[in-house]
Amino acid sequence: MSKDKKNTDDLIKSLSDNLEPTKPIYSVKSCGLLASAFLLFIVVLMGYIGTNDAVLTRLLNPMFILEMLILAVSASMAMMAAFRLSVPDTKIRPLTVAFLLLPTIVLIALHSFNYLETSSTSLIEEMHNHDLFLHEITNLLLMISLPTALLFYVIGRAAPTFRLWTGYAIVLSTACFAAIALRMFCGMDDGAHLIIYHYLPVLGVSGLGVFIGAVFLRW
Amino acid sequence: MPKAETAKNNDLSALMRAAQDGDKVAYSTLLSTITPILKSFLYTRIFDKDRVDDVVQNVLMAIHKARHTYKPEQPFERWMFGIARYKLIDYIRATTRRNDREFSTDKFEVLNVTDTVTPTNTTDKEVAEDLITALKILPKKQRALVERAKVQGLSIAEIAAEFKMSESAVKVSIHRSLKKLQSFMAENGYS
Repeated sequence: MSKDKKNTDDLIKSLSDNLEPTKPIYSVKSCGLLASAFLLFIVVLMGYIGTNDAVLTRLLNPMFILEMLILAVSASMAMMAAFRLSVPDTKIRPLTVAFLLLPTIVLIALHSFNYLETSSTSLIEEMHNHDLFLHEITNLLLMISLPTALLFYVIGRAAPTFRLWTGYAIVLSTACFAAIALRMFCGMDDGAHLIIYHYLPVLGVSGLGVFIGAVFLRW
Repeated sequence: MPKAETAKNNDLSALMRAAQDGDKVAYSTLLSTITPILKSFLYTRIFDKDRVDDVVQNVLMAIHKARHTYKPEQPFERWMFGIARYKLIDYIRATTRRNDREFSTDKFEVLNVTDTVTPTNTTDKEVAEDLITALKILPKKQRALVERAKVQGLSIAEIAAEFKMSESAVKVSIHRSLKKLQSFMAENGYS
């Protein structure tokens, strides 16, 4: 018997001897629970900081409600993608790809349409407002930090084999939830403003999730 | 999926479910069954065939660590090969990084007195004495490593196993020792 074969047999014996019963990791239920927790977090945050005065008027606008629904569905889909990616598999399945790409595509499409239809300022003009940019980015980062850390912790306890995509899905999910809150705090509805200060930052921080995933989801 | 393959997958899945419930015998059977499968999967993908067993063991440990992520409704082989693929990529990344950092010790393979150290006005006995003195300047462990590699002719893997060091650490240590010896000999009139 070769030395390596003996080592492998020893390893199998030691792993079997140390075996403890385990429960299969989370289900769709835990994903739903987390999504609800994040929505609750946003509501608490809004109660604490307060929303802008126009929010009640906006809530009567079907387009605004649709936008909020799309964001909530996008966030939940991205979270489901993250959960699906946290279980080892040989490749990323088409359903997971759909969960990841649809929110991104829908967000881009919705806001491009909104910009072309309603915006009174150009993207370039809007970009010159640096103070506003800093303010919105700070709000977004503050709102996503806690849920992102929690989601990274939960997903990190599993065994994600596609770390970069998992990181992207996690941050996309929390950033979409945060985008809902951001729309409640911010009083501006202009298409250019929404693209530059709300949705590009959401996609930007989701891109950063790739790097965070590469580092923190190693196992 | 062919019938035989599905049946095998179901068997492995059943064993894994039993293992999740704490059945040690089922777990041992499962790991023993998948070891040759993993070996053949990795054998075609790893260039250095001596390392296949190391990677197989890494995969087995990863399977143990991630066993709570297996869902009974999921095909077992998809889950297992997902982990194997992940550990294989890890291994390839680590190897690439190590190869970039390391140098080849081939050029120092034999410290042949007559070839590489050319005495100017000395006899072989004097050269040997100088070499022994030079070896004494090395710390005990480095000297032992050089003696194993260059005098006894042991392989890097054998030395690493004997001294419980990684192969790359052995290579680096021997390289540094040889550099020291080289400069010591140069200071003492050898070209």
